[in-house]
Amino acid sequence: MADATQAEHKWTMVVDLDKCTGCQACVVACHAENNVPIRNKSEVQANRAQHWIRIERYWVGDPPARARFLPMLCQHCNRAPCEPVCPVYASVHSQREHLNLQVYNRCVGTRYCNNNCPYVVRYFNFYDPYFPAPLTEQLNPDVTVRTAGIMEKCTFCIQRINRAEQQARSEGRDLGPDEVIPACVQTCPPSALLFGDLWNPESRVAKALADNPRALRVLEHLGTEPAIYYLKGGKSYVRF
Amino acid sequence: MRGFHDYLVLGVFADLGRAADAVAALRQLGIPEERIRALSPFPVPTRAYPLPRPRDRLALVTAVGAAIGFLLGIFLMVGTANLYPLDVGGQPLVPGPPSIVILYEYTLLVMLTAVFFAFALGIRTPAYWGQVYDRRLSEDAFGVLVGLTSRELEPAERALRASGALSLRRLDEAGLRPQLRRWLGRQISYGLWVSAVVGGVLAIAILCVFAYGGLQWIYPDQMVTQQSVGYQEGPRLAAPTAAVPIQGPVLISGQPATEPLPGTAASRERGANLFRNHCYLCHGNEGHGNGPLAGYYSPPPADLAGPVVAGLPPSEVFRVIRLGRGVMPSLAESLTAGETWDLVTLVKSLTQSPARTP
Amino acid sequence: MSDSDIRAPQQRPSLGEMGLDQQAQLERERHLLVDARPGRELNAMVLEPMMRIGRAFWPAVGVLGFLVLTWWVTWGFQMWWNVGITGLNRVVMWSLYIANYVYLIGIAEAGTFIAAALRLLDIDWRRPISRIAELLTVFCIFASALFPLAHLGRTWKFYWLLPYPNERQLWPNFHSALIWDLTATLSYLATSTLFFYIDLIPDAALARDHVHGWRRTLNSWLALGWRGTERQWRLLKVAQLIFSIGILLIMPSVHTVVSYDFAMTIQPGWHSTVFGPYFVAGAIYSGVAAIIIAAILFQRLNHWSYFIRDEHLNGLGIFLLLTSLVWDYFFFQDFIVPWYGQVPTEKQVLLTMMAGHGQLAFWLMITANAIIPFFTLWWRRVRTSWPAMLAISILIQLGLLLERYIIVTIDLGVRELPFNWGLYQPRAAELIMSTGAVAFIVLGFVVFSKLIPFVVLYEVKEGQFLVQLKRIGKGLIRSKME
Repeated sequence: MADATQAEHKWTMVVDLDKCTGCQACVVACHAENNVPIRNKSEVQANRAQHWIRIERYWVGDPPARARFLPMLCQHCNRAPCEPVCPVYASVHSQREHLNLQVYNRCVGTRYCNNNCPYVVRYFNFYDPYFPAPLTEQLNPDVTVRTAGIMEKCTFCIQRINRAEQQARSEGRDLGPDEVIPACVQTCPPSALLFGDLWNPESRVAKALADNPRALRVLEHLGTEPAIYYLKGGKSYVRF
Repeated sequence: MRGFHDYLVLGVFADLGRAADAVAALRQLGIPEERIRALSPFPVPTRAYPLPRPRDRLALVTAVGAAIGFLLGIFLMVGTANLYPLDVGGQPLVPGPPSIVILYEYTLLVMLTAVFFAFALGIRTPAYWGQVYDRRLSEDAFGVLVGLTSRELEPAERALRASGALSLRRLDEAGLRPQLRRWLGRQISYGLWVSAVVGGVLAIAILCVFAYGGLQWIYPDQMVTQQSVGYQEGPRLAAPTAAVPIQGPVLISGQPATEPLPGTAASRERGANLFRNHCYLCHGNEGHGNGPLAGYYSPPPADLAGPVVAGLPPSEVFRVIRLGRGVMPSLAESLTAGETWDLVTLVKSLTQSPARTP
Repeated sequence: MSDSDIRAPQQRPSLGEMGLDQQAQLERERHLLVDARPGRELNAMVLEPMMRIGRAFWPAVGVLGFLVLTWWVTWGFQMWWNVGITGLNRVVMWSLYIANYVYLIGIAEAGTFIAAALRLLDIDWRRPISRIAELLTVFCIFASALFPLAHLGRTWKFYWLLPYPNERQLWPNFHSALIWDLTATLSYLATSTLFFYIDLIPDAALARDHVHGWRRTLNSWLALGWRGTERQWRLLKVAQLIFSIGILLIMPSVHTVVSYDFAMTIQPGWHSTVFGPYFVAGAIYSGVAAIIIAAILFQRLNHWSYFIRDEHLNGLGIFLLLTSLVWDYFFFQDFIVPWYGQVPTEKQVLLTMMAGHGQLAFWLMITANAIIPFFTLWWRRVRTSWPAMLAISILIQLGLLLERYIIVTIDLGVRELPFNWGLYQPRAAELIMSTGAVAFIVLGFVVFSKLIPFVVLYEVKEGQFLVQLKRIGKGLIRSKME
């Protein structure tokens, strides 16, 4: 296609729960890439930790003998429950990229979207962000820094998607199968996270998901149709 | 009240029966009913007086108000959704059940607001001037208010007294001033409510003018004045010393290196040796870009003694050697940082005295 | 009559055994509408407390005003430091502000019911308390509507929720329950203010005629030059009829739409189809209790035992019992369905409510809302005893506030996945704002009681005109002209 910025993609992520070690490198990478503020100790104790991707830990066995890790981030549901409830259209669906978009400058902070998100992956800026120097040097100029009163969540590094598409357009070609790499996918040491266009049969996600009996989606019975597939770990199952 | 009259006369009665008798007596005198009013401190059944049931148009206003509210609701649900379509949660653009909620609320809101305005207009309020009134009418007395021509004045007042009026009060309405005052009072009454409605419509119209480009309000916007900074672009601070271990000075394009260039003769000597090993094949003996392999490359190797390279700061030359440029490969694997600086010394000396051969 | 007083109630002679005079006197003691007095006396009884500024007035205004000021100051702090000063967190993002919003707008519902529905049903004991009910509605809606503003992260952008043409060509999202909420709340505020004002006009005219000073000026502006002609009365009646019907259509829809804020989500514990009628029942329940409190307070403070008698308290008490039963019914629906179905997330919600960190609130609520009214309000002696009714009504207020708190906060603390189960603790900001809002409503009542007449005199006079004692054989009964 001549204009890669108009092509339709079904951005999908695959999380291999067998490979995830719970190292939280993805969490750090996401902070770095998306200017996610670091909340201080008292805020975290007040249950206001702000990580667009978080590793949920569940104990297995009674007494707990083993831990199970579930990387949880915005699932970019196709029938996102967070979208119809925003009174000002700050949470809308992109029909070309099939992503759930959060419009920061439109958000008035009703916080209704997080109430309706069954995965609770939306974060509210209770205070203004504070980046102690020299972290200010490391802010990503492609991403807005959100002030207090605004909801935010994982965007599948849409700035990277945009940059790759614009690069492809300026070079007059289509987007390659694995050209877009979000920060968490880039950083994951055991490559437990894969990202790509599900409709492109060459992409890693399409290959990983083709006829895979391990594939599942979290809380699928709610009908949210998330865009993230989890691959069940080996013999043991993640029970939901 | 409508109808020509010179005088307003108010009779105050102790109970409803006497007031009704008075009204009957007045009707018998031939005074038309639109000039007679019966006053009471609380609502009484209308058939108590021999007066026709007053007609009101509130039913019509209710229907019209409800229709306007319904249409407003339709605009908000269907119109605004189509003016700026956005996909939310896979729901249809104009959702069914939510539309019912909005239509219901707006219908009732506009209907009741219209009824209020019609009511206020209908009771001929605000009417602060030109009233004939008695305080007892809000205690327990009943009143009969009648507009009389000068011919009817005497017989009417006699009839009222005969029916048992406690007192009579008369207001002279003949003459220009009272009539003007009466007319003005009516205009203010209409004007108030009409201007409220017109004011609302005007406000919406003004908003539309601004919204759809008729006028523009240029408000200060930081996007124009605020700096846009790309990756690793200035103005930036250098990292604090010993924050990140690096070899050699910090490389920032366009900014001078933080360490001074070690431009000693020994450095130049070492650089000349390195030049023979690493650079001579493409750039030639004196660095003019005419080495044995120069012809194979397009674009050809740069003239290191020329004005372009002379204009580059030493840090830029350092970068080019370390990172490569175009078809020139990176030499970082072959040279340490110190060796690279020696080469930079040499390259810089080439431009200063082009006749010197290495 | 004195002998029969000493005998026990069941030994007193029945009305049929007394003479006509005795019967008439008894009826006049018991029923306001039979006990007609001259208009001047009625006016004086209502206008005198309005004119008199007693010793308790300024201290009351001072204390309440201070509480309202703390409310505004805290809100200002919150706009500056942002929502972080509250106790909200990642899991429980709606809490006391929304609970207060639902609670206060619930109280408003009963005011409308008393003023409008009882008028349509032609129930006479509403006559003296109609204005208190309508004023409660107006103040409660106003105070409650400020809470969603306070709870916004960026309050100063609240006007984006209104549908107006703008340069960005953006409109609010009508799919969202919050927009329906906004529409319903503003409609209710506008229409109940207009309804209150329509009812006020004849009484403002009365005040204009019989008071002096600045109150005279104020009331004559409010009265719009009302004179009381038969045309004006007729239009008033028709307008009141249309408004009563219209506002009775709006009233349940408002609280139903408020319940949709919760029912439209897929949060376990909120996603319940019974929320619409459940919330309306709870609203009318808390509102009737609030009206009882207001009526008792005004009766005692203004010495209005002429206007507000046992029959009115009794009527309100029966109504309270009725709404309490209706609330019990809907609460039971909302309880038995998740209990029986044993769906894990919903079961966890119930467990948290009944045995977890919500248990104190839950059992207090059950006691105050279901148990105490059920075991007291059946008896007339309780219903006509003002200390008992005051206590029961205050407990019901507490119980219904707790019910809203449980629904908003405790239910929201139990999300689908166990990682997202969280606690909520209110902090100073939310508590100050809650008390400030209640203080605002009380302050409104205290101030307005010195501005406008608080008994709907023309309705009382009309009632006394329409109701008479009619002789049937040896007895006298009340008979009302239709």
